[in-house]
Amino acid sequence: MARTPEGKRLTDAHKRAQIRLGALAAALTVENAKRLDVDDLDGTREAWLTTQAAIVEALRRRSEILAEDYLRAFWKAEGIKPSELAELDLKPAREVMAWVVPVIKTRKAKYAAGG
Amino acid sequence: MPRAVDRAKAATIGEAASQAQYEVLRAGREKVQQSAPRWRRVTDGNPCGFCAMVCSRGPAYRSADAAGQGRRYHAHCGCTVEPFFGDPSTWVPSPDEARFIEAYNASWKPGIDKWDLSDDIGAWLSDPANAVAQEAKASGLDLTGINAAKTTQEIGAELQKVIGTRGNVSGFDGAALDLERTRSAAEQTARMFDRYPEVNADVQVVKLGKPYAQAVGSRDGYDGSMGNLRLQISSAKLGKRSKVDEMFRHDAESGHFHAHGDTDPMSYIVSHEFGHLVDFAGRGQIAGTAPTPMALRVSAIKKQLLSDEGIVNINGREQFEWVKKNVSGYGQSNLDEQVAEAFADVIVNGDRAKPFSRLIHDEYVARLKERRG
Repeated sequence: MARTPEGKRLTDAHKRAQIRLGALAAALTVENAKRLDVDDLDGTREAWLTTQAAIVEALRRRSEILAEDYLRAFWKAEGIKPSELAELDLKPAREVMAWVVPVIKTRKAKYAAGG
Repeated sequence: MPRAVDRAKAATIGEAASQAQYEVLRAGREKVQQSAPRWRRVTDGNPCGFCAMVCSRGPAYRSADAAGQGRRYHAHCGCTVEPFFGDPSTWVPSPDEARFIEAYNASWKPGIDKWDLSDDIGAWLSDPANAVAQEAKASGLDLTGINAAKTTQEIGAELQKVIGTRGNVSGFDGAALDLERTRSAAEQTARMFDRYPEVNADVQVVKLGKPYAQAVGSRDGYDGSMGNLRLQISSAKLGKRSKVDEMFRHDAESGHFHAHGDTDPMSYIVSHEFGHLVDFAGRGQIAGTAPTPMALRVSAIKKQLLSDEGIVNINGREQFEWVKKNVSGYGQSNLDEQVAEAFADVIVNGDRAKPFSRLIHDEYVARLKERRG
């Protein structure tokens, strides 16, 4: 993609930074799972989901900012006329993580039945 | 035995972590993709003829989909797509891409269909006569003393001079050691010390039995001091009667190691073991506890790359095969070996290292720098 060594460096650095961010999201999700009490899923669901959604939304924003910074720096390094940055319309994090507790309940029933 | 609800939670949170990772990366990925006007295919370094052909066209595609996003055209295909900004006529192929273009030009004939053409390109690329020899990255380190040494004892003494107070060198005095093989091991060891200044370790040539070499770390973790870590190389494998070259060639050909026919065995072996040392050093004084923060990060990176290829079960057979393709056969042993193999790949194969290796290597180097402050 890059014509210049600087463009290549920026692309590699951006890819690595994004992957590190993804790894951080996974690690924070595992950490946040401690809020979810398996003996009181209904009672702890809300606090868990609120924090989980905040983690994903905050890191999504960081991911977007990284991408925006990368694009601007890349265009400059490559001598390319900047394009307009796309506006994203992603599904709210709260909605995309909402399946977790129901799935735990389903699996709990399945495992308890010997499945 | 864990309760059903604990098992259910553990299984589901693993999947939730993968999804959180995907959702976060998606924001950056879509931002770039939706802001890019052209696309091109990029190979995994070992493409089939078809992927090489598509790649040779450069940024000729109007969408990621048209460049083959998410599609695998050959067994173990790790080729991906990338956006291209600006005027496509300004695209400058990398050395690999220039080689694909050369293969295309050599294979194209009037009237040939794309499948026959891609077969011919694949054949051209796999012909040893057309292969580009990969040289290990040369270090700027002064190895004159080791190069000029006339005995294995002198090699050991010269290596000691190079690494100084960062480790004690011993065992380079066996009469049965092969001079050139020992020199090769010492040179690569010196390069590794030069490349990773955060790591201190003793270097020992010792009787090991089966392994080529091994890295030894203290159970109490790494505190940066000398003697805390050891790089041990098998005296039998360095010996005059050693079959190490044949053994290594066999291991490379079978995919056990990600090496090529012309890879120097001792360079690969020392690089691999030094990868373990960097792993120890990156963990800090928490070795022996599991999972370590680094193991968690490596695991998450691996999950991400697996998910990019549609592999969800990180313990399944597909994952096992993925490791062989993206790391090496030996990497299938466990995560520790995957890290060490990633180091050997980056150091020996340079720009041709696999993406996973590059990411893991760079993650550890960043971690070492963090620890150094």
